[in-house]
Amino acid sequence: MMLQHEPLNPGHTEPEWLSAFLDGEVDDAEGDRVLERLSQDRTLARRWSEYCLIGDALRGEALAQPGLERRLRAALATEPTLLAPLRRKRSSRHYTRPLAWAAAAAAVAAVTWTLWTALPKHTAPSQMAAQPEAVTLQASHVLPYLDAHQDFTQGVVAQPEMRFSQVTLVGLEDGR
Amino acid sequence: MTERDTDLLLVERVRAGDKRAFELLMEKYRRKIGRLLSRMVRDPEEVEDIAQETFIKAYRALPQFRGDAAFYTWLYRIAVNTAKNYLAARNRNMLTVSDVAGDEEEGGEERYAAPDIDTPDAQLLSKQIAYAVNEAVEALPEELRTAITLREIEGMSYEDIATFMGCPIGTVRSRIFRAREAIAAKLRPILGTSEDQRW
Repeated sequence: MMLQHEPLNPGHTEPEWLSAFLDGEVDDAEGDRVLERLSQDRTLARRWSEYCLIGDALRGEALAQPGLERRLRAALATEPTLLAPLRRKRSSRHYTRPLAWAAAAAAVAAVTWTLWTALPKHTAPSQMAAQPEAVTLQASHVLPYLDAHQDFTQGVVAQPEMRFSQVTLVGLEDGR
Repeated sequence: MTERDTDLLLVERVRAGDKRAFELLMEKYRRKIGRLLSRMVRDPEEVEDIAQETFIKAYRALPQFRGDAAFYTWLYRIAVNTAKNYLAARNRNMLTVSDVAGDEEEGGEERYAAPDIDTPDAQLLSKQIAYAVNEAVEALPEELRTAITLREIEGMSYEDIATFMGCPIGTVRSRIFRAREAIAAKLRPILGTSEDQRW
């Protein structure tokens, strides 16, 4: 994203970056610089106040409470200074996007490789050679079973890796 | 960085000992919190009391803020709980947020709108601000008006605005800034401030 990587330069005024900072449209380093300037420059802080008011007014939220601003500042002034540093945990919406894509691509490649190597290869001749010998069963034992399960036979899809044995039925006398 | 990140950056500064960063957060959200509270409490003095208590509670609790939720969401909860506790302590009836939402849907906004919740001077100031901002926005060139409207009312990112307007992001940033400056110039006489006046 272009904006986030543009350095502050003479063509861009500080208030312009303050405006972008209010909208969350600068990168971390620029945000730090804007905040540093804000703590030093009272006119810039006044602009912050004006920009906030403009946004609220445009959204119909500009309730004038002239006394509240003074009261809040006075109350805050009596509070002790906090010293409990917070470690950054930002969403980094724009500039981590290429990294996110690269990570996703790497993950997909890793999963594909794992599956590719884990799945049995379709080397039919060797599998066929490993299959057991043909079996001969009495039809009278097997037919009731086949009758009971014939509804499911359409659902069976033989996978190449499935092992099977050839079965020959003997004793079929009624032509079934 | 997003707008939420901007708040988090300010929170970091406060927790690192910069109280002025909390003033910036108060400045950003005091009107929103005031409006929220004014829908729950009718007395404007009580609204200010609760708003003050809300922000001070938030400041004191900031070391426990982990940034899992947006700062405003966290602040909103503190404001609602503070209002409930405040009114419960006085054994007073209060309007719940859901009551207010229901009333608004039924056109009941009038009962809780600005005229009931502030002093005549504040009412006049509110109207003057709204009028000046609307007039200033109408006077803006089309591209500035579109940019500031998409940002402030629609909440669109610069990237989305750039796509919508078919221009570079740097141009969007410049247009929004110029729009804000033009509107601020109209507001300063009302607020009694000048461009160079310090906070």
